[in-house]
Amino acid sequence: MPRRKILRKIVTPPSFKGFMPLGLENPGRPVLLGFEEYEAIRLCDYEGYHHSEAARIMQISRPTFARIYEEARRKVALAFVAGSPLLFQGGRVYYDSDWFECRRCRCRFNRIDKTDLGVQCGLCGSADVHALVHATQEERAGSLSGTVAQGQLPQDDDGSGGSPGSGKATFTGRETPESDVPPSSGPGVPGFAGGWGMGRGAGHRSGRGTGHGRRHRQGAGALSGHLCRCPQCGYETQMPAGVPCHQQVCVKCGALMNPAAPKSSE
Amino acid sequence: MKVAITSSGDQLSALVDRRFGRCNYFVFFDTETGETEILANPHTDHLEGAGVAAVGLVAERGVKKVVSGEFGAKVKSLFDQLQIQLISVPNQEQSVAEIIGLLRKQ
Repeated sequence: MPRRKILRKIVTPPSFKGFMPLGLENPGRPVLLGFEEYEAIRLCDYEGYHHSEAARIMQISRPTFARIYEEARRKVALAFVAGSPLLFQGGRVYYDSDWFECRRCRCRFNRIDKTDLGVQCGLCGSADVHALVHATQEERAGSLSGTVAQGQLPQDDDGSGGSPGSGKATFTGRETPESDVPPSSGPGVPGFAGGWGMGRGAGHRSGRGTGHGRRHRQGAGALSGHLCRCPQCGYETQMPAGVPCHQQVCVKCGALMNPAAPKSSE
Repeated sequence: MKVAITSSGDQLSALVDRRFGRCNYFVFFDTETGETEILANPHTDHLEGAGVAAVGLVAERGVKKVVSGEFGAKVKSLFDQLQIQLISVPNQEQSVAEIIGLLRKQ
């Protein structure tokens, strides 16, 4: 059995649903870009981070990041050339807001409104708060009231709704992690494997030769995922494995989706 | 703004219930009107999905903050998507009335 899938952290998903090619009567089957793939492109191509920095932001290893990034670029290129719509969907991600602890009432709370600069305790209103910083990569043992650190969520949480909450946060006071590390000046930095993620160069497909071969063709049921249905508008779609239907948002109407008939594969 | 607080009993003097999905009661407090409403949790006996059901229950009442002890991973993710703030009280035992008192002062 393949190893457990690990969810990747993203801070803010895209605020729109994707792209449609102009001038095509029959755009055809959409290319699905997972949220972690979107985030990879956002961090490297838009914000200008190196692979190693972006991997740290997403709390995954650098080779893992490189694989995600390359897959993202491949999909974007495919959509570009084939004139396919590009949809942001699913992916192995979990959302996590910043968490803080109040020194006055000793409660812990999260920050939903990321644009709000000053952080106040959600319970008592005190400004005497400190950010709970992610400390280690090991899986959480307790939930909110226990120790803080967390890097990865276990995947098979079907039905185990009482399992640990994710007590992690990023860091003090700032809205987005990007302000933490300023993007470097240019591509002329040696020593990073595939630094700017250019092309299908060496090293990215190292080692196990998994994933790529299996996933290189979009459609034809090649993705081992599962079917999700929206209870509100009835929209059904195949979602990649790794994120339960209850955590997927319907791209048509925005409701949370439900499991539909499960696939027999995987 | 409405706040949901998980309660172990049906009085405001009851202690905060540390579980969210399978708490005994929900107390809804409106910070603007000062009114409170106490509701027994209908999902305590569910084998699974109590947390998800509880999220729906508080969300449809227009709650903006939830106070409890612990929240499961699925629940946290749902609340994040719904933009509802979560507050976890420390282990020392506090009554629902104390929590309401803190909220009133804001």
